[in-house]
Amino acid sequence: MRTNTNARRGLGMLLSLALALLPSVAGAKSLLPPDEGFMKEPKSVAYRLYSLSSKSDIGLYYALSMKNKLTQHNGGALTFDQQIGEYFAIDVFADAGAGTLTNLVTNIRFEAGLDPTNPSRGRMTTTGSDLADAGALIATGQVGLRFTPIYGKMSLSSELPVHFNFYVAAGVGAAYVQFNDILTCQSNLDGNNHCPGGSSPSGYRSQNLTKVGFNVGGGLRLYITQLLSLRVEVRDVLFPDQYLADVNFKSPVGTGTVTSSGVSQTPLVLLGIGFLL
Amino acid sequence: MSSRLSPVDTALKNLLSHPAARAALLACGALVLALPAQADPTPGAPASGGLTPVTAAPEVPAARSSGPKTAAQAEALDPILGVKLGTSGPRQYVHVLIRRKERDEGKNEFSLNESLQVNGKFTDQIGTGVDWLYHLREAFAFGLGGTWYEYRADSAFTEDELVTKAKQQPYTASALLMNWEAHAGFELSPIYGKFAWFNSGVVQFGLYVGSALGLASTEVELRPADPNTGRGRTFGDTGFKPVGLFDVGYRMFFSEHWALRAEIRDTLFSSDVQTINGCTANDLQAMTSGDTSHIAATCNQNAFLDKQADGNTAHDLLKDPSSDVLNDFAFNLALSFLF
Repeated sequence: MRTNTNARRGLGMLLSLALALLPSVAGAKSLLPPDEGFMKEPKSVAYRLYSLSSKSDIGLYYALSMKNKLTQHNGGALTFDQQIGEYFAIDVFADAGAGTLTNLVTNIRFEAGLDPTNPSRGRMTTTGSDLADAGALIATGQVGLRFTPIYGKMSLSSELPVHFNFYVAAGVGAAYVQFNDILTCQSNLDGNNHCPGGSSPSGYRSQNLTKVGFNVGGGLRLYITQLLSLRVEVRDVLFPDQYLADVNFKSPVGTGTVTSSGVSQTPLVLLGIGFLL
Repeated sequence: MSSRLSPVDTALKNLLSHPAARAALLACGALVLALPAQADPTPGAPASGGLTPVTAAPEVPAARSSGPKTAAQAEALDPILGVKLGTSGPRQYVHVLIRRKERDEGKNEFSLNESLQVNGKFTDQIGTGVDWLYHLREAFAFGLGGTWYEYRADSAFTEDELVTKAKQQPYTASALLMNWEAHAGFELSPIYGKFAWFNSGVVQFGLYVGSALGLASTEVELRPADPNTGRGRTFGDTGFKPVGLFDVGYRMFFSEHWALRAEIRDTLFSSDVQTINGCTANDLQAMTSGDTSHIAATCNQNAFLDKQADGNTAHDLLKDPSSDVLNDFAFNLALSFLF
């Protein structure tokens, strides 16, 4: 009986010793909380709570254009991304909204004397080219790749960290654009060299066309929950420019040749929410 | 040998002599022994000895356990954060983000930056600047700085579209250029963090906002360059303007001493233009007509490259008084040295 008890006690001690030593043999690092910088520099961001791997990512945004000169864009955008691993995703980007002319166009037409409300005689009596970069983006749909190399976290004053991703994306597809003539009237100028109906946008020529479109951009995802995130993106939508050259501005009907040179840019700021499914 | 029992002992003896009472007592003992085993919160954990593996461990672990949890409860998600509650139950892990070991407090920071105007409708500017900051506190700094704009001109849109095609030019006040600006201000950096580029390393960063007041020397472009004659752009001085600066930026630390800053800086100034090269519209009219007797002494005629052509343009710019509040948004990229 005594021998039996001693044998059990010895076996228990051996098991305890084995359990104590086993972790150090199997990899003791995994058992200790990683250091975050006080003792040695960490190799990575510790305690990542969120993963993109194999997930579908849907983003809904309000989109507005930056650096507006002659045109502007306000609308909504949708992104759908299917992750392939943690870093890459197939990126589908769609945007639609109002592509309009800015007040600067109204001022240019007024100063040129095309607007009949301007008491001065119009000055557009020569032959020349209309203004470039007057294509207003109405809608675009593109497919591309998204690359998410950065995972991080930042601390607000509350000391609670906010986890985030930074990503870049690029794609190709189609852009539906309204190409506007800024100085070319729908009809021939009147006796005062004013554009008949030139106080309204319908007095000038415009054309809606579908062109090949590209986009490059980047964004920030601020995680709220495993499902929800706040999203901020910048996407520069590019498409071939088009405008009229050799226009007889005084008698524009039947004159002018369509010139395609250069690329128009519509940089969009996208603010919205994302869903990780 | 006889012994004398107390009344209580006698009562207990009589009670335990009953078989049913003995069985009940044994059952109670077994239950008491079994309870600690059931309360073990970590199924599969070593019974004794060794280290406890940290799996979903918080950086600051929860202080207490709220009792046994089922597997379903352990998988339950927090309704706000959406993260697993774990075996600690509804008590939340406080997930503290530890600051980097190097402190900014008490340090000087010198920055060399390149500035690129990003919202230029009528103008384009590229500058080189120097900033000095003293970090009085970890999240507060003050300092001085300035930028010299080595490239400043009307934009391609102004020169190629408005001037060449539409025969128009922007109002003077909307197309002012900065020669240089100097400022003094402060900076707050309430947000700090870190990110990983893949898994190859960690970069510590801080987000900051700043504000400053200063002075800028301004000018306006009179004529675009003429490639036929080889003449460059001509400019006219429009004087000093007080400026306000607001910036939002991102400071990435690569070592104890070196950091990279990326910021958006808004330089805000009122651009009421009354004179060009010290000349009023009347001075310029007199100058271009050759009537030098009606030109004020403050008018620097020699500053015009071509008194006739530049004088006429300057007169056109001043004859319609204009004022505007300009926001020059610039993207600044700076290399900082902290010591």
